[in-house]
Amino acid sequence: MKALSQRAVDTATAQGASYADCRIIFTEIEAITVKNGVVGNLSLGENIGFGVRVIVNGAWGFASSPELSPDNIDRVAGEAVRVAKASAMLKADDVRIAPEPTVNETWQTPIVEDPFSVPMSEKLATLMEIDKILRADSRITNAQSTMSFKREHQWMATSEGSYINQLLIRSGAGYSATAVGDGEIQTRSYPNSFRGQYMTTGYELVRSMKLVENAERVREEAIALLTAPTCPSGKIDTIIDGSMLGLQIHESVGHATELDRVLGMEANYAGKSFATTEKLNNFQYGSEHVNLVCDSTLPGGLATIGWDDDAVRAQRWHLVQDGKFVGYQYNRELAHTIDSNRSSGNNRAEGWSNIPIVRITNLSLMPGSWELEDMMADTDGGIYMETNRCWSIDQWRLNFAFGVEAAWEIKGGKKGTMYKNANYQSITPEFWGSCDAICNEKYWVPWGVQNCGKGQPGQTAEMSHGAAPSRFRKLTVGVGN
Amino acid sequence: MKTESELKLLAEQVLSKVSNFDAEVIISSSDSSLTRFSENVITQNVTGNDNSLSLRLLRDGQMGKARTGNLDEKGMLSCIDAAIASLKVSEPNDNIESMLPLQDYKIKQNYNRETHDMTPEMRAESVVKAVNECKSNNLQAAGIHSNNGSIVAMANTKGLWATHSLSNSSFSISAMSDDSSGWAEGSDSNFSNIGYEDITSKAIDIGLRGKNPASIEPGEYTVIFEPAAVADFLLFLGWRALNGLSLAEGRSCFSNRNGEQVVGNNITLTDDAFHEMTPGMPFDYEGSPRHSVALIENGVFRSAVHDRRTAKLVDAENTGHAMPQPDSGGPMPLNMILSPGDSSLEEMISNTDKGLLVTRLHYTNILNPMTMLVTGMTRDGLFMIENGEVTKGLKNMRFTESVLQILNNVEALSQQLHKTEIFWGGGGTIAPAIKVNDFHFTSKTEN
Repeated sequence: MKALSQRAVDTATAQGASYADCRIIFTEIEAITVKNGVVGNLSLGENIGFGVRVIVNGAWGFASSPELSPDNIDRVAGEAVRVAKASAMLKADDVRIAPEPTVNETWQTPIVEDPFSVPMSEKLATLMEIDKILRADSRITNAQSTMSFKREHQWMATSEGSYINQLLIRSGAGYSATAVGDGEIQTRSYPNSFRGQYMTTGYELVRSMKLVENAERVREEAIALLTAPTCPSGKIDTIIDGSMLGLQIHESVGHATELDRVLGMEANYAGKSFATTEKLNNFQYGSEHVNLVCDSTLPGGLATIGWDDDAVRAQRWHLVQDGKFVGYQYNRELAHTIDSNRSSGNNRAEGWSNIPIVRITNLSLMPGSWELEDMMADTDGGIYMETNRCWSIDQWRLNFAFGVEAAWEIKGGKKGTMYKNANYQSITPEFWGSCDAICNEKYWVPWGVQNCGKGQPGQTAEMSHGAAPSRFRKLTVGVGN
Repeated sequence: MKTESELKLLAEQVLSKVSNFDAEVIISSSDSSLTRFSENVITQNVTGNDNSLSLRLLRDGQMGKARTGNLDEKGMLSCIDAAIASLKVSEPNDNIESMLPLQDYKIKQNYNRETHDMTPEMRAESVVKAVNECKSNNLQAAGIHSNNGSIVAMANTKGLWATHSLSNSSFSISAMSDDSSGWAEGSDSNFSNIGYEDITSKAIDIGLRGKNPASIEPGEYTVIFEPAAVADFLLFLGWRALNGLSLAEGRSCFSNRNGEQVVGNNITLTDDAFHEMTPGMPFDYEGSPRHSVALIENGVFRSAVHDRRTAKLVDAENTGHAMPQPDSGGPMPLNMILSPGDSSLEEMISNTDKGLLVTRLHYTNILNPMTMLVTGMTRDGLFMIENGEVTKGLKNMRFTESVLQILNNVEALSQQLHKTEIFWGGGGTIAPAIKVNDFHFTSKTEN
């Protein structure tokens, strides 16, 4: 692979590229879905190909192909050069990439148990057992449980002389039960909505998740929601669980601090950001309790890597420190726009067929000091919300609305009546500014997001957001006016 | 992109190696390129080709499936081994549909060689012209210009052979000032039908008219939605309510409501892969011929779209909308058409004493699938209409409203239809502009 990737780089530079890199990627996926007692999907997949990225005449070009023959590598490298020359027909300044040391390194996701070595029959048996428990009540019309595993081997060569060999392994599982009755449809999921919990670990994650042990509770909560009262509306002190907060972090902090968005590079599609560059080090993003940290080295994080697709080493840094806005997520191309002399290491691509773009890495709300039972006792008359089911945010990452699967009144320091159809809305700095209590590290989980879409052509990326249950004062619960 | 004869040869090679199973292969091959621009310069420019082969095996009620992107001998053999391995551990299931023999399909021409073969220089030239127009109006341009060609082929050991080629080119542009944004887009299987100048002019016009936006309070308004916004509402209706599996499992707001008036009697919604504006293919992923389906007729719910399994579950006709099998998501209407009315966007505006005009929506999502309550934001052009004229730009608003309520409150529909690409499934939604009474905006922003 080293020779093939180097061949692409050499061909591109021989044809005029001032910079070139080539990534060859081999991906294996195993996916199992059981739905209503039947194996809905049980498939194995593999995929290999390469992408060549070049700078010619000060502009980017990218070309890719699944065919790894030397002749085709030469053709694709030449195509990347041609595309870059076309890009140079409409440019302002030449692309400038921040310097990086040359590296020759290997990196691998640390795992205990290779998920691909666990027999498929064992995985299937676990999912079938869960399914049986979920469907023990006829009001559950849709029980769906999944496991999915991915192994991605990357080889990257650059014209700067770097060569990086990485093996990334991702495992995960989860399930949901949907109850239908009296014109209502309600779903509960475990351990999170949208296929569960995923991490860069081995099968040990699945073994630790207590999947079977929680199935009965999940079923009963889905059924209870059918007859639960609708969540009240108003300005209400609200405790939001870690999994819901994970997506909240993703949408209102993660995307808002991608520097390419801030600079308008996503304006036509996903939008821009309110977190403009004059606000850096000069803007109160949240209360003094709020510390939001990027960490591409986080053990188990879905965005945990050795090096990004710019050949930049994984890093850890604050975006928000004691409530103040102090950092962005960016790549080598954009570092100079905020006078940074080094990339934060956020350039990642989906597979071999996409050009790397700025992606959210593992981004977490750091834990506070509260015990959840103390927080509940301190929030009488409030509401506790759990598990995302709907999300929407404007193109500036300011005005958002989130719905959750389940909510409970907080009465006498404990969870009281369960509510259905709970949702909340707010404006990003107001929301984070209202945070006055965060549970401690005992409750902190790096929740995986598997389906972050961005860019044109569209790409999917994965990342984790660590969070513990946290309290937000006088949150707008309900749809507002 | 591989040719039809190359795909046929590949299919025959794979099927000949699994002749002791009922076997099905779906092979796709594509070339795609996209030029992206923002802040008046080209920022990304990509091209590539891709292949995919999926193999599904059936024997004695067991099913196995595997996929590969590697179409050489080694890749195919690995895929066959994986499909057999997954079959061996699968649970027997009596409800798996058998594979279909050779079918007859209507012809749908969606391929244009020149569009497939557009060069990066051709895309850049169109972008340069559009950006220069924006610059001459002191606006910043951002957008994309793409072209692609693709072919999908399906074959099985029962003799089925189905293939379809598709080309597409898209051009989308945002024209932005410091406090406003205009947007327009177009796509077609033949790039010469796109109308770059009209699209650019429209985006510029919206961007210029939207400057110095005023703020209004949340509340109930009469709203005229342009087709791209209408497509957003229909997208969610199609996904959650008109999906045959949702209907069968009681998860659709139309479950057990066949023949009922569900929205206003001026609403007729069909799914038609053969409409001249839709990109649909003439068969589904079971190999069934795709049919045009009356989903809602004069406000009355007629049918969801079905594959063979969901059709049996609700005792309906298979409409030929299967997704790749096995499928736990259910069949989807990917080529919806909301029938036009007899009005026009201009007439709707001139007949409105006080109301709003919405260009497009952003990040719409479902709060309650049984009431089809959705929430989302306006973007790229929200305007006040007063005494029959568009008078000023407005800051964006969040809406929270039921799609059923929206379609129950439609006062007028335009004659002119527009295609909006949808971001899943490769389809498109054809819709007119609509005027809706009593629409709820629930919060505002400063942008």
